[in-house]
Amino acid sequence: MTDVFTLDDSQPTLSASLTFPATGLAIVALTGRLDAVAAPELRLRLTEADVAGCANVVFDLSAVTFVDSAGLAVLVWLRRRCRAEGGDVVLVSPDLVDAMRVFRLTQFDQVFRMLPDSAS
Amino acid sequence: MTPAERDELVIEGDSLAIRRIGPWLRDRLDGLPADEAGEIAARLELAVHEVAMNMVDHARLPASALLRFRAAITDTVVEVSVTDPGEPFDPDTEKTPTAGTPQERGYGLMIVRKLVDHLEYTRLDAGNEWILRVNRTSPADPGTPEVSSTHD
Repeated sequence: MTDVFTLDDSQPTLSASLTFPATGLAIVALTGRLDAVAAPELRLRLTEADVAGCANVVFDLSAVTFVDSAGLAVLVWLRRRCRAEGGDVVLVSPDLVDAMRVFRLTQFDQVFRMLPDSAS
Repeated sequence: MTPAERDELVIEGDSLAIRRIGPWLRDRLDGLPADEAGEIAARLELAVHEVAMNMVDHARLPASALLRFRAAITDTVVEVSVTDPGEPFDPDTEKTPTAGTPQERGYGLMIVRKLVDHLEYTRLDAGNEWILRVNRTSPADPGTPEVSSTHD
């Protein structure tokens, strides 16, 4: 099952593709800006039943171009929820150095399990 | 974009308008060598974005408030000043994150401090001013500057 949606009408935007390859596992692949504009809508989408029923979530950030502290907050919120259910959140690293920088500055690259690419 | 618009960006105090910071900064830095411009633009876009979002979220901006951004480029630094007409910034309300313990709030100014070489806050008569400065010969992995604070 794939669910592709766009989270706001402005440019540049954030698009998300959701897949559910196994019971209890969701893969959320993001493209674009994960910022304060997109974060609230993304969080709302992640509370819907299909994702809320998954204790394990892989966030593929390889095509994300910009991440701010509001974007990080969504990841922390989801990690807390998944861990409370015995699962976890795993991140696929952004391809762009500029998008990866915020994870290094906040040491989120040491807090989250981060995979170098989606093939991993 | 006129020369005046290049020098100063004026936007409404909301998160959607803040997305204009990146294109404006990149346009402002257009005259720098491409590698240097790209590195500085990426660092300053995130830093200025976080300062502006802090204003939107915490400065209790009046209705129709405008945020003003000015950029200056010298041989040695790129400096951006950001002003808002909101309430004073109170550093005591800042929630400093604990290393290894992710939290949902408190990362904005921490990110700013790590991205710029100089960060300065001034309380104006009716608003706030932040100055963010990046050295033109920037180190690959910038350190954490102190925030200097003054009050008029």
